[in-house]
Amino acid sequence: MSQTPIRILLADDHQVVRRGLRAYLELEPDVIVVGEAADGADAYDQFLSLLPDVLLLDLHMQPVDGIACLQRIRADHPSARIIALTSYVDASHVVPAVQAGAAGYILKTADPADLLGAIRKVVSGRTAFDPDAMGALADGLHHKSLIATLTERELEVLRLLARGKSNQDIAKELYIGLKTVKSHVSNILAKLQVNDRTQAAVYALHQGLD
Amino acid sequence: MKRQTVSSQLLTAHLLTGGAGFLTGVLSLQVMESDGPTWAAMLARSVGLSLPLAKGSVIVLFVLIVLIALSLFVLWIGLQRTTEFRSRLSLLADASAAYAAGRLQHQLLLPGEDDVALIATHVSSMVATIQDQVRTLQETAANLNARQRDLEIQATVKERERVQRELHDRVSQDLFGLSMLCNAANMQREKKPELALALLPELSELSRRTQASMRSLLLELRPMQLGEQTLVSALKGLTSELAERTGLQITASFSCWDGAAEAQLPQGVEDALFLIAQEAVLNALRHSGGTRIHVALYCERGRAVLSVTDDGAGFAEPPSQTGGSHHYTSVGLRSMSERAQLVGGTLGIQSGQEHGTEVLTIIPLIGE
Repeated sequence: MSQTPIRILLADDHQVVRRGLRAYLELEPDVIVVGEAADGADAYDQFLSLLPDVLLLDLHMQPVDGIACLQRIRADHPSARIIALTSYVDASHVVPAVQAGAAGYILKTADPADLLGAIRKVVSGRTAFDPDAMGALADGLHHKSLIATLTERELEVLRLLARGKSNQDIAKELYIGLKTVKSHVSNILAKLQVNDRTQAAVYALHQGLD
Repeated sequence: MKRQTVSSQLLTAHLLTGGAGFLTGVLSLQVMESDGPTWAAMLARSVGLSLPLAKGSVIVLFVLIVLIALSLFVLWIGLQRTTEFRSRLSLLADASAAYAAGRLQHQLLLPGEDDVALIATHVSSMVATIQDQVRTLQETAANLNARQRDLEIQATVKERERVQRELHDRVSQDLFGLSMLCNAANMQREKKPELALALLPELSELSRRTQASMRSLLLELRPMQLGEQTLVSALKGLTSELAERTGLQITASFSCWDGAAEAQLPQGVEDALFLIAQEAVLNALRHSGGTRIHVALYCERGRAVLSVTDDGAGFAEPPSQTGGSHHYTSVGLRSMSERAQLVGGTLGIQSGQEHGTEVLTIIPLIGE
């Protein structure tokens, strides 16, 4: 193959993951792993200096996480090709990643060959989203629309509820009566189509509401 | 003033009846000294005084009769008053019996100015106070229950998140790396077998690490309640199970528990001690790096003492304790300390660099 190799930057806070990825990807004659970063800030810096063809980006990193890194890179380089490579496949991860301009979303449970296929697709200007991630995205947009039916007040109550506050606490915090809180809560349950406040709290957390 | 009314009335009635009786006696003696039967004597006989009467003692006899009538009247008045007093007292008794039986809504109405009315007023206001207190108590209990439920929900949500995070952040990452390496080795098997072989030690090490992180996650997914077990058997189970799983020397000792006469601690104290012991042992396993952990529980008159010691690295600076209340920055330490405080106890940590750590919990026991 005479074409120019694909230059890849790896960003993951687990050394084991970086090791495995590098060992696997470098078996491809046309792939070079040009750098490894252990957190979002590191990945941003390395991206600017290396300008790789594609960045494989873990979303959960400390102190700067993948989403923040994705946003910053895309703000500076709108043409940057970035694949989110993560073990999370819920709406609170997929939706912001897609919104920030990820060109791909691949799960760490994916077949290695699929990962390679995704990298090639993304480098050639297309997108590569895991079917589960697409499902979560659709789900997330649907739930966003459910959450959009809540009033401002109900949203406030839901936020407090998700933090584990009792009805009494919520009443105190929002300066409203206990009965009012109870009616807000039952409206929230009905609108979000859940059975109890725990589900509502989990729901809110999953939607990244905080 | 009022309080004297009843007793003075009773005294008057008593004196009057007593005085009348005395006068009757004296006069009868005087009558005995006179002679000759008269109409008065017959009268006297008809009222039961079969005594010989002298002539001209009619006046005396008349006075006597008047006095008897008077004393009978006074006696009747006294009886009336006593009966009324007793019926008021029995109303009071009925009411107090009702209150003692818990029927606080029983109405006690005893109008008047006397001591009984006064007692009734005081009892009524006492009962009203008790009713208020019962109401407050029930409201507090209801609030407490609601709070408890919320806390449990909160704990469940947090626990689920934590387990999910742990699975994703540790186990799943290791497995991903492992699978990538395996694939790399597999693909090189034919072209460059020596490279594939070179990856084997790394693969073996990585699978061992993955197993270890899985095991430590399982360690943390332990029951949070004593359930049907006694504290002693639960602690024995905890230490022997963890010793088996980790291969470390984790032991427990108990004093004052001698099997037959197992000291019974209040349920709340047992639960708190179990959770503290569990958290302290897991902390020691996670952070101390030591090879020996010992749980000692002993109870003596008036207190139960739990000590969890390890021979690990210890803290350079023990978590700060200011004044009487402890301010621990770590969530685990804070929750242990709070559990001790909830049952009226204290939790302290003694540690020094390279000197291991002791978590010491002392809970006062209130006798029956």
